[in-house]
Amino acid sequence: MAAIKGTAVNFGFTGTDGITITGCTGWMLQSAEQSKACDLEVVRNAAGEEVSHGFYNIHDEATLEYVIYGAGLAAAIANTTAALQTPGTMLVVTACASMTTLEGTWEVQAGCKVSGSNTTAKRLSVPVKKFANITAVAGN
Amino acid sequence: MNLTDKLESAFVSVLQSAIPGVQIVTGKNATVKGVPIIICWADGQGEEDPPFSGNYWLNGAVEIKGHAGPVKNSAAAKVAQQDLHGLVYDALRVTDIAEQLTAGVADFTVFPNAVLFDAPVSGNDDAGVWTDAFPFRVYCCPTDFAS
Repeated sequence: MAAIKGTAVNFGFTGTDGITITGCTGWMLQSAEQSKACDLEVVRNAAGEEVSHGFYNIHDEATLEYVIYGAGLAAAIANTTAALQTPGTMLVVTACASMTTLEGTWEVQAGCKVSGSNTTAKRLSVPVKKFANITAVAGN
Repeated sequence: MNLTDKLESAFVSVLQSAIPGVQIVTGKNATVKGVPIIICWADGQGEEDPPFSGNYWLNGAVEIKGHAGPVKNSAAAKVAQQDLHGLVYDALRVTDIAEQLTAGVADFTVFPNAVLFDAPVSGNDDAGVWTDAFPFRVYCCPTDFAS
């Protein structure tokens, strides 16, 4: 029986800041959660039992957590000010070596949050969704 | 070679490349030692993570021991200790330290970004030897996944 001498796991986030997003600087990725989501059409029989599921509008949802930093203390504050994302903003992730499924164009959802306290660095939480047919902000 | 020996040897390898001319040894050694000296030691922490993986977190420290000098706490000796501390810091606190440690010994992997340093500590003993240390936690395993 072979000896157990290690397992190649995907540990942490590698690369500069862990992720690269066009136009966003001073965001150091701490954690990411990504899930598949969809809408569901349910068909039931006469007894009310589900007999068919129609999955449509399949898309990705993710929440990205960052610590904000800057080249200096003033830059860190400026980056904090700029970090709060308006819902509907498009974020283009050009690289995330440890979770390549995060690469692509994401739409910021309601609930983007910057949080801070007297004992921690300022943190940014960004909920995003990725739809195949939504890749840019619609023009007026 | 067990996992703690490998990590100790990996730190020695990295530091010997960066700081020639200074005695650098593993924690487990039979070397005649003097000061200044850099000692790299490691010890296990907790069970394997995840279970049955063969991956472990190891604790340890890189310790820099220097003599207080002919005149106890002389300024020159303190400067020498601080200079050596700076060289060790510059060698260890780099973004590719995990990759350097992996390359330092055979059949060994430190996972990328899995070298976590605690706050530096320092002290001295009654014999007038100063110790500055870089405590660390490292997530690693005894297989080379890089090749």
